[in-house]
Amino acid sequence: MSLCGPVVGNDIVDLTNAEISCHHESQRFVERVLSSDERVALEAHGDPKRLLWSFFAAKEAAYKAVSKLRSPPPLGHRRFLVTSDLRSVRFESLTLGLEVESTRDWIHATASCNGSPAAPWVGRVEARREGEDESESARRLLIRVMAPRIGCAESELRVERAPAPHHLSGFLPPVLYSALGRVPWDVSLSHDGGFLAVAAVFSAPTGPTGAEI
Amino acid sequence: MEEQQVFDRVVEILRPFAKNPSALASVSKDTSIMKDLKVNSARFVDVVLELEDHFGIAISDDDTDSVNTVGDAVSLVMTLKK
Repeated sequence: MSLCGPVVGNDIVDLTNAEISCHHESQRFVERVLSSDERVALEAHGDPKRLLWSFFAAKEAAYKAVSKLRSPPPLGHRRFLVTSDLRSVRFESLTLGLEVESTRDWIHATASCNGSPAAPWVGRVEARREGEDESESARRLLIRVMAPRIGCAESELRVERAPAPHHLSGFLPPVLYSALGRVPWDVSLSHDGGFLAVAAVFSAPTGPTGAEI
Repeated sequence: MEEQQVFDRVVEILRPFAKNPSALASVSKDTSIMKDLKVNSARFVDVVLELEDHFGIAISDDDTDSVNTVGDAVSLVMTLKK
């Protein structure tokens, strides 16, 4: 079974990571990742560090969503254009809806496209336990969040990522399966430093002739 | 500059950004920068800037797209240094 309808991508940034505390002051880093309009917004913003990483997370989330609709595009961050109100991202002819939530410690961006505003979606951020594998922890979080929504036991769900040597991450996007097959939700996983994040959007199932994503 | 020298310098540039020390210990040209060394995309931008500074080159977004492995980075530097 393939899915059609909305696709989602997400990205989390751990703001407590000292390694990224001064990137907003690096003109070369800013010029490498932001468009000219985004740089203007950054210069006028009262909290440039937070805005820089909000833009960055939005672009990463949009990249993940776009990669599900076509061959993964180049990850030139400047090719993804984020509106200053953080409500949408444009990539070539595509416009993706954007949700950015943040606390003092993290920023989580979720980008989606092909969906109606009413399409059910889920997002969750949690702290990662020290010493736990990031990828495995994110998978477990997704299963814990999705099991009650799907109406099955956590033990019935599994997350698979097929190897893809030519993708930057080395894998295709994650897919959630139950004992009955692929579940009708498109999902995305992210982790950074001390935090894990998951996002999912309901994506209607299709038959064998349905649109492939 | 010989290819082996460039490889050694690229590995040294990657070292502070790599989150997987065991992969770094057995690094080769086929080692994936993101998947194996676990350099995330934000730090990958830092790596690109370091490569520019160290080798005195300018790396475009299109150039960056071709870099997946350590060997790709070495090849790109060798090409841009010519």
